[in-house]
Amino acid sequence: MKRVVTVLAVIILIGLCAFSCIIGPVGQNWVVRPHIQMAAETFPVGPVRVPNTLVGLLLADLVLIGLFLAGTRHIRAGRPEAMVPRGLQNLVEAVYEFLVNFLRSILGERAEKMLPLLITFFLFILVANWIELFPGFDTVGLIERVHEGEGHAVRQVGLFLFLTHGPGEYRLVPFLRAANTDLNVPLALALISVFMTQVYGVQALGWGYFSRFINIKALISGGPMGVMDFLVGLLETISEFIKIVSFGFRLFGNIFAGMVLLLVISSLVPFVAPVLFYILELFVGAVQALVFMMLTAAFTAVATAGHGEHH
Amino acid sequence: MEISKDVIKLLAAGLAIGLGAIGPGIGIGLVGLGGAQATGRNPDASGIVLTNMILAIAFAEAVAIYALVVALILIFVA
Repeated sequence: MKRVVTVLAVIILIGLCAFSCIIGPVGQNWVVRPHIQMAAETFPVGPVRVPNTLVGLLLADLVLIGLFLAGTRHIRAGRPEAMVPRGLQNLVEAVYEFLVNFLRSILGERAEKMLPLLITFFLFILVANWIELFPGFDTVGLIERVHEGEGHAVRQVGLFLFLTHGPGEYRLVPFLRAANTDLNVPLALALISVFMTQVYGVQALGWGYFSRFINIKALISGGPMGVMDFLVGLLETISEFIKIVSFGFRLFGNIFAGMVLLLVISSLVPFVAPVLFYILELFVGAVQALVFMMLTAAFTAVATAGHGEHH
Repeated sequence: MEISKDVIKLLAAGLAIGLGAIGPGIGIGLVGLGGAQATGRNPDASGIVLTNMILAIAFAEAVAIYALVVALILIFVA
């Protein structure tokens, strides 16, 4: 029985492959070319226009909060079955333990204070990236008249309007779009990350932390090498601002490029081929979340290490 | 033949990401080489090697992302 199912699945897969190879290039006549724009599309809700990435962001928040509330409900209620985790609680504990052990191995004792921030970064970015892969994102929305540029024709099937190939004056405004495809969200995360790095630095080293940036003491009493130290401090100041840009654009660039890749592949070869890129996007989403967390951890480790202090 | 603004834009975007990906590609390859060699010599240290490898890849990749962002801006904004 199992073998029959497997063979059937393989045959269907090969059939879809062949089908999409035929209609993919030829199908340019009826597959709608995606409309890609960098800024978030907005759709009207009452008097205001709401960006669709905001909806994606709130949805990611809800999923994350719901998942962890459900996963920890036995623990919070103090029930005895919490001692032997099952199901969702197992998953939540495994994820948490993996992250905590991983961060402790990088940061050592300093990890404890930063754990909440770093783990929140990781989980939020992970969920916000992966939620993009659900059906309905970037594809379901309002049909709107285009004011400038080119649009598509529409066709009504039952209650719903579909975009069709061919020139027209309509475009799709999706209800849902991944939060990180809007530059504002990664940039906000980057600002939080860099700001908290300074906070942890001040907590660890006191106000002397800022002598890393403006080293007046070295300038006055250090002689020629002191001038050098002062200039290095200025470079450090610039590199703090570069960090914000590079954090923000790394996340935005990867996720936005992923979205464009999926849309373009789906319109070129509608069947089977997108699956491979979905797997790639799962990987990219996880790696970007990990990189964001690890870079924040690494920069905080540098900021709290102290000037001229050796371990 | 007249060269329109769109042609220049597309050409510039293609060149930006194409040339900009050369350096990071080589860089990430070198990081992978180093990581694989280090793990081969000392398999016990694979955890810390992986951590440092991902960090180094992130820094190398950032350059490619800058090129990508320039290309995206050229196509969608400029």
